[in-house]
Amino acid sequence: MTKLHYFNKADLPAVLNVLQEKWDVFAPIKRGVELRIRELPFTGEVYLGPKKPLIPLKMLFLPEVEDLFLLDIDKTGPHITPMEPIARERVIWGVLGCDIASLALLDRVFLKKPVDEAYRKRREQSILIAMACIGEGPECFCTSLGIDPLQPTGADAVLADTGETYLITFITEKGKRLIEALQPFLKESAETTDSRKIKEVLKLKYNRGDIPADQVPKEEKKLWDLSIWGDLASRCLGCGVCTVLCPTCHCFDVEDEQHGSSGKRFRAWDSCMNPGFTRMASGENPRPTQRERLRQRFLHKLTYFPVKEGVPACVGCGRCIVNCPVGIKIDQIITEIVKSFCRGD
Amino acid sequence: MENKLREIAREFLQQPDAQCFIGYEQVNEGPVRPAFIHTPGEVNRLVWNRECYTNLAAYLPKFAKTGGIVGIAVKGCDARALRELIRARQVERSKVFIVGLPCTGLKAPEGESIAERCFGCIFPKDFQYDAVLGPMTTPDFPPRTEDETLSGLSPEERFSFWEKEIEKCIGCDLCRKICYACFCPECIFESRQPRWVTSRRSLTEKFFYHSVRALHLAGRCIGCGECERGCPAGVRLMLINRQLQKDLQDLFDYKGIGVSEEPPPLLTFSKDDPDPFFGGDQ
Amino acid sequence: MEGYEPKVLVFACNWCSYAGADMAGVSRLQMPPNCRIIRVMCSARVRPEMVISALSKGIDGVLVLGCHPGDCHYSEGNFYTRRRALVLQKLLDCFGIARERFQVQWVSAAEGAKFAETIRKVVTQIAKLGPNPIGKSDGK
Repeated sequence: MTKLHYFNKADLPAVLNVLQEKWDVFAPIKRGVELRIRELPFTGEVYLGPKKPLIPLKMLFLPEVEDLFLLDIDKTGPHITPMEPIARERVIWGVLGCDIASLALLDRVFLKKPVDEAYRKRREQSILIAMACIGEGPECFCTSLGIDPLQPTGADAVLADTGETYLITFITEKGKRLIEALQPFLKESAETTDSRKIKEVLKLKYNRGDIPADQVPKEEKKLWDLSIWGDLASRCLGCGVCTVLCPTCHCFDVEDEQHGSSGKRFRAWDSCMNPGFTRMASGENPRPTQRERLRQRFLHKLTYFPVKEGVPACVGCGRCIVNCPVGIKIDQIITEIVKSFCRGD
Repeated sequence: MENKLREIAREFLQQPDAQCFIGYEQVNEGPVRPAFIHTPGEVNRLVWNRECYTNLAAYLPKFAKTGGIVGIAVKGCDARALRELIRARQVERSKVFIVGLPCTGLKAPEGESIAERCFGCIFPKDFQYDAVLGPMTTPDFPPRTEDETLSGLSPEERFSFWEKEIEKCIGCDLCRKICYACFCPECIFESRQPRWVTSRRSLTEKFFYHSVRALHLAGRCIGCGECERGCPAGVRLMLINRQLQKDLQDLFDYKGIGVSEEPPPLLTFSKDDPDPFFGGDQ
Repeated sequence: MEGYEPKVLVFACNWCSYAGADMAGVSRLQMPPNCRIIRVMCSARVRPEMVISALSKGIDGVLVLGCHPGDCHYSEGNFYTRRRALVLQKLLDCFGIARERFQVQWVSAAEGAKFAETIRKVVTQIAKLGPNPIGKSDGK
């Protein structure tokens, strides 16, 4: 059985320092009211707790912008230099259940043939330390999506905050490699790993388990003409905040930059909420109004993705709920759709 | 007052050429959000309270090409935007039914005091509404206090401050989409030929974005602050907009969009404008 | 700053300033080589976005040259230029970008000497400031 370790909270800065000798280290950093995942060292306070970093974990696996290759043309012809996606192995701290679960969903896209090599390399080279989470606020509904925030799965180690100490459970072989480096700080707990032990220490504070995401009908035809799409589209600004902050949104654009006879090809996050997202060179746009765009986004998350992969492309983090300027909330949409089908509308 | 609003909306929607009524609603004590009412039976969704922040006039250019008359509920500040939209021919006066909302000041995010954006409220006293919920006057709000964040900073310190602020920007475009003044069907930031900003959204491209947007808004910003309030990263956008508004007032004696008789300063000129020289130039 | 050569972009209006530049050239007046001159039909053609784009990409300074107010070939163009310049200056002030990095000057077709003098002065001023800080902070 895996042993439970713990270390004193006061030792955290030293722990992170030691890790930086062999690994790149990432953690949520608080700077004023801002909470973002950053590479250490970075000015600000390391934060390990239930508050979600503004930009989710996907930024470390599908970066906001990524150079794909450099192109140089000289007398001998064109030369392409591919970019290395990742320099050395890294340890990522404080990952919440929703973000960890989003990786499993992104894996289904990027690790399927043809495999996205850059994503795969980053996945392989990352040691994820999840954080047991009691929920941040009323927006949280990850339990509705089958996620257990107190015992997140898919990480290499799990951290739990007991007040004075951090309990840490090393799960995978990758995770256990950290034990040697952290030896000076780790103390073995007398009890063995027991999920009930962590649940005794932490009580779930915020979460809604009643959002029936898996009950959304899987037949696109049934949902296509619902009036909800037009209603929401009226007030949707198409700003795309939801797509930037969503842990599972992963659309990107590929663009070329040219400077004289050299250039770069890069990819960068794109948003289906943008009017130009599906505009073609002819000027034709198969999603001409916000209604079509908004409908597509929710059908993708709640119908198309589940049909192909068996699970909705949503982790119930609630970032979109909190940040949408006009109050478009995915939990309300799910509930309304399911209700209207129960009523037999 | 909410009942009067609903009554006016109901009467409006019973007209044959009425298309919809844009107002505010609040569901389950959540945040107030824009409401689009299409039938007289739905008017009870409409609310009017101190949390009705959004400038609904921003939605009107979308309706420009559609048939029918659109009803809209506007506060005094929103009426300034509406007036500018009409002047800029983004909205036809005859195709909107304007309901004035008498306002005693929006609520600050914490507590019950008046929101900062309401201080120094410039109210267009001569705006012609089609209907009002009451006399369109506004209480004497205290004048806006100067934001001291940038004052006293050297240029290097200012540059450093903005470097940090703009680095926070996540490139989501909320500020652009929520602003009434950003109604260009082909926005410069989406332009392909020429490509002013790529989708890379590097720090320098974000600097370009925020500077150019501030310039495009100069003289047209109504100071509603929705851009800053909506910004997920908390970038201090209104610092620039308010600074430029003050500069325009100092340079050209410009009172503000929708209130001043003159068009926005960048759309005109005066033969008496000072030359942009400094440091002992001729 | 020692040994530092700034890159300065100059927009010169076809009818007055560009002709003035020609005049300076024909008169063999000495000018520092740091400027790239772009001819525009009128100084009002210069959008503020062009200035900001140049500065944000690392150009150390932008100089816009036009006809004297009242003498614009298109009657009013330079009045708009003047207004825009005043507002753009305020924006650059707000961001802490040195005023010297964006300048406007009126140079007529006959003022070859003034053209040369302006170029010399602007390049000296910008060289003293050092490289444009904007491009340097771009890690991406």
